[in-house]
This record gives sequence, structure tokens and C-alpha cells, in this order.
Amino acid sequence: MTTYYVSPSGNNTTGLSLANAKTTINAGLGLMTGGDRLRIDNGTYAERIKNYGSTPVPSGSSGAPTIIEAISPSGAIVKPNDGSYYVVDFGGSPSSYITFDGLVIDGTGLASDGTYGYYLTAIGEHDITVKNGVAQNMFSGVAPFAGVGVLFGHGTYNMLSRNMEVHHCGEYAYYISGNTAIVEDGYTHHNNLGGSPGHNYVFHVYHTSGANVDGNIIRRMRIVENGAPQLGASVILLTTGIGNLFYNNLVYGALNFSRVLMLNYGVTNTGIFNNTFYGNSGTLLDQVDGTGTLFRNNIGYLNGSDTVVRTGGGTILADPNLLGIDPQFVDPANGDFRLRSTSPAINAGADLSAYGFNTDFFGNVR
Amino acid sequence: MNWDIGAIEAMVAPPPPPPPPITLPTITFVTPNNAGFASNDVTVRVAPRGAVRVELFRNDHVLPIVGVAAEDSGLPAVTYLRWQAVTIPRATYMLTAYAYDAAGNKSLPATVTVIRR
Repeated sequence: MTTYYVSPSGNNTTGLSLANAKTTINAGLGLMTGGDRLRIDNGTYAERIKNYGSTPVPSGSSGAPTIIEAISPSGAIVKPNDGSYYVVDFGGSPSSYITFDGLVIDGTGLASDGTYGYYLTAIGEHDITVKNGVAQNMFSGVAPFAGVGVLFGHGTYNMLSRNMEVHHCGEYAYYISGNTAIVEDGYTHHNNLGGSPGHNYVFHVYHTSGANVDGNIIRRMRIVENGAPQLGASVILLTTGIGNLFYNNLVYGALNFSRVLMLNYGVTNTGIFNNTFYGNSGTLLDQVDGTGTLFRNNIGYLNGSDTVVRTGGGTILADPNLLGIDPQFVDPANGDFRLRSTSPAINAGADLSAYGFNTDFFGNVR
Repeated sequence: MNWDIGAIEAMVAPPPPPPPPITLPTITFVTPNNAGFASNDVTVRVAPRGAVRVELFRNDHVLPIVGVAAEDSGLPAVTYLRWQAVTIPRATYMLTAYAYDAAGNKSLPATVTVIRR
């Protein structure tokens, strides 16, 4: 396993040190084999990262992933600015065991529609991690404005997003069509700037053909002030799968959505636990089509409607929750959703440790 | 386990830790023996532990401590106190000793009865 370097100030030779660094990411990728590490110096790189072509990102192995990382977090900006569709384009054969760490993926100057920051889409792709970085500006400013921050496509599994900031994406921050992905400890804000009217979502857990999208987890996310000039369908859409979990999230300040949560297309046994929904537009939860939903230990306050409705029937266990009652947050105007000592939410929840967690948004034991 | 509703569990401040236990100094009489006889110049020997100072009473009068000495290093493991008994009327007296540590904590009393004859 070898470490290579990329730097705008390198001498473009061996790539084995910062002084001898390659000057482009693709030149660095051209040196790598599976399990190698590519360290990228501060700078803006006008290129795309692909898993096909002459300099593909090689797959690693379970014990030795291939690592593409910024030397300084958020110091390496990957910004093709070339009118294409993807920044990290894994449209080739399925890759696996690859980690992207600390990169800023910027879609400024991409195509006006269908742009993606991380386009991880091959059937069979798995164990790819994006972490500690940013996916931003998947939004052209030109109609129809569509763009996606992170795509975990159909047939992928064990994908992970950790501590990522995803913002200013046109239609979706996250589009999850695979199985067993985890999205955690991140921050999504100011997405849904365009898209088709009625089709904006921050989290879009869905597959277009109705294939199962199972066992995905979204947790400890701060989902803030998303919203569009176009009417959004829901902040979070969970569909077409079994056993997806959404817990310990803070969702607040979303504008111009019909719903905060929507369950649809036969989704089954969805767990929505211990979230705080505050000041979003739309109905808190609308089960258009689904069954076996567990909606428990959630706070809903000052949303468009702090209600749980089943426009399409199906079963929902929605107890206990605190809906439409002042939960007495410390300072919600400034994003502080801790509970005051007099809050009616304290000690009013059910023990949900059977679902695999016993901590809160901050990791404190419940 | 009492779960809160919502994403963030209320953190109730934990109670302050209990104060560390206080080990009081101790003191015992070495001489004179209880119910012993005292003559003129009585040497009182006490064995304080964890103390920096001792106090000696004859009944309710503080006795002047004359010639304090330690028999070993550190705290005065055995301290000599002289009781100038020659001027004391013949009677039975209770001697009471206390030890004090550096923080001013006071031991339980040690007592012996002596007979001046």
C-alpha cells in the first residue's frame, strides 16, 4: 500500500511526496492500485473523479480500502466546471471499499439538469464511504435546477455517509436507492432550490421501478432550512422498502413543503424514532402507502400541521409522541433543541433500545 | 430506563460528588494508667495519630503543656506532656486529651482518671 500526493505546487514527477506530487488528481489516480492512499493538497481541481476510463479509482479490500483524502479538511475542492453531469462519477463497473475523506465536491458549472456530486450507482457497488467533506452547489441556476448531492444507487449496499455537509443542491440532498446505507452525523441545509414542482426532497429513499430499498439508516442528522421556490413533496421520503430507520434527527425550518415526512409505495416496517421536527412547513407525517410504521418518541411542534395522517391507510403505531405541545426547547430560534427541565418530553418516551440504539443526537446515553 | 421524547435527551446535572470521608485524628493515653496514682511531677504520655497538635485537660482546666516532644519522626506519635502536679490538691482528677489535625478536625476524647495523693 503506497501513499501518493497531489498538489498544485508539486513537480509532477513520482507523486511519492508533496514536493514530487502530481499536479492533478487524475495523474495521481493513474499511479494507484487497490488499497493505496491519495493525499490531495489544498487547491481547486477542475476535473472529475471516475471509476472508469484511463485513470479509474481502484477498488480496495475490506481490510485495506483505497483512500482519496484531503490533506486539510475542506481544503481540496473538486470542481469540474465543465458542463458535465457528475463530479465523482462511478458510472463504470461496480466499485467497492473506497473512502473519500475531507473533499469538497462542487457542482458549480455543471449541466443544468441531472447533476450529481457523488454518483455511486452501479449495481453491486458496496462499502464506499464519503466522510468529513462537503457536497455543494449541485444547482445550475438554470431551469429545471435539478441536482443531487449524494446518490447511493439501486443495487448498492453498505454505503456510508458520515459527517458530510450537503447544501445548495437543486432537487435532492441524498438519493438512496440501495440497501443498508447509513447516513449519519451530517448537516444538510438550503437544498431543494429548484427541481420539478412537487418533487423536491432532502432525503429521497426510493427506487423508480419499485425495487426494494431496505434496511437504510438515517440518524443524527441536522436537516435545516431546506426549501424551494418550487413546492416540495416532503422533506423526507421513505418508500419501497422494508425496515428503514430514521432516528435521532433534528429537522427544522423547512419551507414550502407539503409534508415533512411521506411514506409511500408499499414501504413496510419503517421506524421513525426520537426525532425533533420543528417549524417546518407541511403535515408532519403522511402515510400515503405503507404499513407497519412505527412513529415513536418524536417531537412535532410548530410545523404546518403537527399531525400524523394516513391518506392511504396502512398501519401506524404512533405512540408515544409529543405533537402540537410546547416541548420547551432551550433556544429553538438558534437551533438549540435541548429540553428545559420542565419539558413534558422528559421521561415520557418509550424504551426503544430493542431497535439497536440507546443514545441521543449527541451520543449521550438515554 | 426513562427515555425522553425527541432527538436530544435532557441532561440533568449529576449530583455533586459526596465529600471525601474525614479521618479524624485519634489519641490515646500511654501513661498514666487509668486509676493510677500521681505524685509531684507527672509525665503524661499520649499517642496521637494524624495530628499536628494535642490538648490536655485536667477536669475542665487546660493544663499547660510543658516540654512537648515526639518519639518518632513525622507527627508526634507519642507526645510527652508534663503535669506539674505538686500544687494540685489531693483528689481524684480526670485527664482528657484531644488531638487536632491540620484542618482543625478534633479527635474524640481520650480519658484517664488519676489520683493525686
